[in-house]
Amino acid sequence: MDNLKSIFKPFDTKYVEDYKSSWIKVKLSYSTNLLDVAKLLYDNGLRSISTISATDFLEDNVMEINYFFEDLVNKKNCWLKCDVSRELEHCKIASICGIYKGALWNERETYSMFGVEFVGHPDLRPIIISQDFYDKFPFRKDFDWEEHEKNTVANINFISESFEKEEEENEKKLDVNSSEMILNWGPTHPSSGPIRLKVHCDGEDILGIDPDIGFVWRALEHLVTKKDFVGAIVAVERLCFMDNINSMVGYAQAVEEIAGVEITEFAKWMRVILGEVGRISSHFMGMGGFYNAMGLHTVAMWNMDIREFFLDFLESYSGARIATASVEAGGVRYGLAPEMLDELQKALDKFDATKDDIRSIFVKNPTMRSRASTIGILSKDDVYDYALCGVLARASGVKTDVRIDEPYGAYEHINMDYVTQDGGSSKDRLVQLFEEIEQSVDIIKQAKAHIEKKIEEGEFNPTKDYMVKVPKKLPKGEAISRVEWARGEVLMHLVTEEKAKSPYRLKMKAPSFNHTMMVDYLLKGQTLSDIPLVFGSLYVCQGDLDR
Amino acid sequence: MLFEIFIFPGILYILLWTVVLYWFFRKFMASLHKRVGPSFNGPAGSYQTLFDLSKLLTKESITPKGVNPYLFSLMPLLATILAIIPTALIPWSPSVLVVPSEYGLLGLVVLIGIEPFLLFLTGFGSNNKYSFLGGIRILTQMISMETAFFLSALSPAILFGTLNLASIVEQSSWLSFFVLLPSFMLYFIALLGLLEQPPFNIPDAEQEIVYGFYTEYSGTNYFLLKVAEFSEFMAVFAGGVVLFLGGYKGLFFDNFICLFIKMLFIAIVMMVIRASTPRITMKQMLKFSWKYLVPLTLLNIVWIMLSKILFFGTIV
Amino acid sequence: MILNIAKKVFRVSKALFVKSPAQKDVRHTKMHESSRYRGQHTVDYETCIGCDSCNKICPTGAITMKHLPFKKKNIVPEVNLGVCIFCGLCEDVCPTKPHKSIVLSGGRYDMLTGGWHKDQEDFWVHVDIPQSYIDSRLEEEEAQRVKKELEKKKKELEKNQQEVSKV
Repeated sequence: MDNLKSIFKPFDTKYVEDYKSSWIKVKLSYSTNLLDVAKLLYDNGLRSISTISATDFLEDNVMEINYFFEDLVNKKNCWLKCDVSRELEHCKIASICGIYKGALWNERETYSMFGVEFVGHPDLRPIIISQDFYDKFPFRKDFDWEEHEKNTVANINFISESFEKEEEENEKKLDVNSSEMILNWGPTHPSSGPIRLKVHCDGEDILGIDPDIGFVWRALEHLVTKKDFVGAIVAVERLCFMDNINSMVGYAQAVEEIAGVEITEFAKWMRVILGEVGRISSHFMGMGGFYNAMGLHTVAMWNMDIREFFLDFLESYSGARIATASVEAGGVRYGLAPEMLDELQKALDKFDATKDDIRSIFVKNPTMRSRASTIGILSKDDVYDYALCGVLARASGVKTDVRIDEPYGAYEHINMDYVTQDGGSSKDRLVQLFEEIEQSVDIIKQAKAHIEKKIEEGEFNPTKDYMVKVPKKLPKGEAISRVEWARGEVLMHLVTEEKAKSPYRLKMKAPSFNHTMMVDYLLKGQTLSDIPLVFGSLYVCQGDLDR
Repeated sequence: MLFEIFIFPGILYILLWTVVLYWFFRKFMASLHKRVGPSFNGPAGSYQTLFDLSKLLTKESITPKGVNPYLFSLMPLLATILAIIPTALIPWSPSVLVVPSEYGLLGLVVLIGIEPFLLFLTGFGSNNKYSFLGGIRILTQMISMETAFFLSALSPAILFGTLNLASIVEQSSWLSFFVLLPSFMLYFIALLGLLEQPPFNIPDAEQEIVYGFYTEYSGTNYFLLKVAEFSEFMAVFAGGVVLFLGGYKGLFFDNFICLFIKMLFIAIVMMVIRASTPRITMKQMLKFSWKYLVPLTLLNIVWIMLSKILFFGTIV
Repeated sequence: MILNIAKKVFRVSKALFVKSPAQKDVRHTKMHESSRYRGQHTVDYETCIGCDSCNKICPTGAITMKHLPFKKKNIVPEVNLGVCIFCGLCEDVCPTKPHKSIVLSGGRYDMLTGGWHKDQEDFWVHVDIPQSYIDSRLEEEEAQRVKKELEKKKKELEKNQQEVSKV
């Protein structure tokens, strides 16, 4: 950590301090030093840029930009902040795209939401927001949402006119006699989900892909600022509600850190069990989605059959099957009764009875292997450059897992190791999904045995120990917390003001956002049949792509 | 004669076959997927397909702007008529053979082979990039698969020395069944390619090109295309049973029921393959067909000629 | 490779013999019972103390308070089922004892409405308060008010008497 801090000696900084066990937190005094600092950090091994986020301080007339740099090999990370002026003409900062390739879309997002202009960016267009929000920068604190909503019909007309204009320009640009065309792999395609890919192809060979995202934009980061700290969990859990629990755990940890509250041991173990059940539920759907892209629906049906038992457990615990709202700041929301652990045991038995069939028929399927082992290959350098995480990183051989690197909840007492594959092709990602499900089942068995032992010994009281009180008004502060979500690493950055009843700014880093940047790189030169295969194996959820 | 045109094996028989086979596909596939298929309408859901097909007839047939009117609206009708004709050539039972002729097998193979060209024209005539891609795919696939289909379907003709379907069924026995077993397996694989079933369902790839050349059709046009598809099933299945499995000959009695049960057996094997194999790409299908399938059919013809000399005693 | 594919094909047919939860007919039997299932709300107007907490915590604004003609404890919640997301926070925050006034757990799960626009506007949980209850509460308040006035008069009389005795 100290040699990392010594990098900042020649620069003017407001503070350089340690933060948790593997982060340092730095604030630069002048934003013109950014490029030199970034180059030095890159040379010292911090090759991944996780995300970029801006906070708008209206009273101090300043916009603060946060950069999160990570080193996936040595586990040393840096949180860098600097200030820029808030007025639109002077809101400029240098772009780090020349050094960090993964900053391409993150800077576009900060530009669309806050109006910060990144000088030197190769392609600064708006992203995520729809055409009627261009140049209006909706997340600034002085944007009037109600005024904008008054002319809804005019906005919708404007959007459809811009689509038609774009189609006319495409027809003029391409040669009429050649076989090139721009195909809309659009939001109403059976296998694309709510995303639009503009595929520039020549017959069936692909020349380039440009994703157009933002069909599921609900402005969750703005919605959270209007609710209090308890009501915000229903907004945070809708990041992607297949695995809704781990994102709530991340948010709750950030709130507890600012309030200075420590939760009980029982609540930590319950968060482990609930988190793993959410991860299993999401991975089952991921396996089914990958095979659906190839036309075989049997896998999805068999997986749903097993998943029903896990959802039965969630229903008896919290009252809802999918959008559970079961983790709050201060612990978990409900107490535990012994029949719920019996339901969990039924689910684990059902999985053990079927897993050999699934492994031998589908994970080792020869037709799938012949199709998927040569496509969509991601090397270790790609993982570092674009800050990929989760299933994609581990299937390429990079050992990174937030549950082991920065343990939260009760993960430090659990016996687990990295699960990786070599190769990084689409087939390896499918095998990785299945092996992660087996690892999660093992973790649940360990946690369940521990909880039952402690209840018998009388140390845990399952009907009283599940929540501690968190004050309604929090002091001024900020915190970050990382959790291992089903699709990758989620980093939540929470900022509160003095005597706050609701968050001032919550930034949720979405792993699928970084992953979708790879679509163009992986599919240049392949054929049209490979698009659903590669896109399905990247394990993207459009809910957290657009937030 | 009128009875044979309209009732059996005529139009009513084909409609009934469509309804029953579609229901059978859905229920069997559902039990392989660990779920139940249609189960509300009628005992075990048997009225469901009837309701679906009659709903299609009452829907509006939308014709998009900019299509070629002859190709778009005329082709479904032509395709249906052309798909129904082969049923007149097949011996359904010892007494029912609508058009007895010396060249029955040749007529069957040629009529089945013309069908894909009409389907390409439907894809070409719709004003849609996805339909066009589907039409080109079906041409590419059919050229490769039909070669293997012809060569393996003609092997019983070489063995028995005649192109007459009725006499092929008369002359079949247990010995000829075992000799023709390799050609039956090759015929089965070529059948999967011809009818666009998994693992060769490339022109109809819902996840890639949004339903191929069927994309722009709705209502009565779609109903006609579906009837054409199922009549093709019937023609190909019945052809396979008549050529390789002994037609209407059964263990205790010769009747139409035995033929029907053998056709269902082929359908069951096709369904189980469909539930366990994903789709392959165009390049892999071309490589498989021209590198492995067609040379194997040529080798098969050598085997047939050899066994004719050894077991049947003559060359003619 | 063909042999490999054939082995997979045979193994898939094992699924024909498995009993799965999809085979239950949910028109006649319930798929899964849970006492904490968040269903339709039931509002108990007799225990409600009118503190307005459920309205303040509702994340979507589905609760509207209905005014009653009393002086204290004069609002009860009504829920718009078309807007509610069934998160259960209103039940968590209700402070009444021994049981809560707004309850979702174990509620009805088959909430259906007609498809027309005017059916949507009527998709509420209303609170029907019988006239006899309103009359009995008004009588109680009247009795309390009269009691307070009598006590005030008694105190004034005592004070007057004390002043008189002092003088």
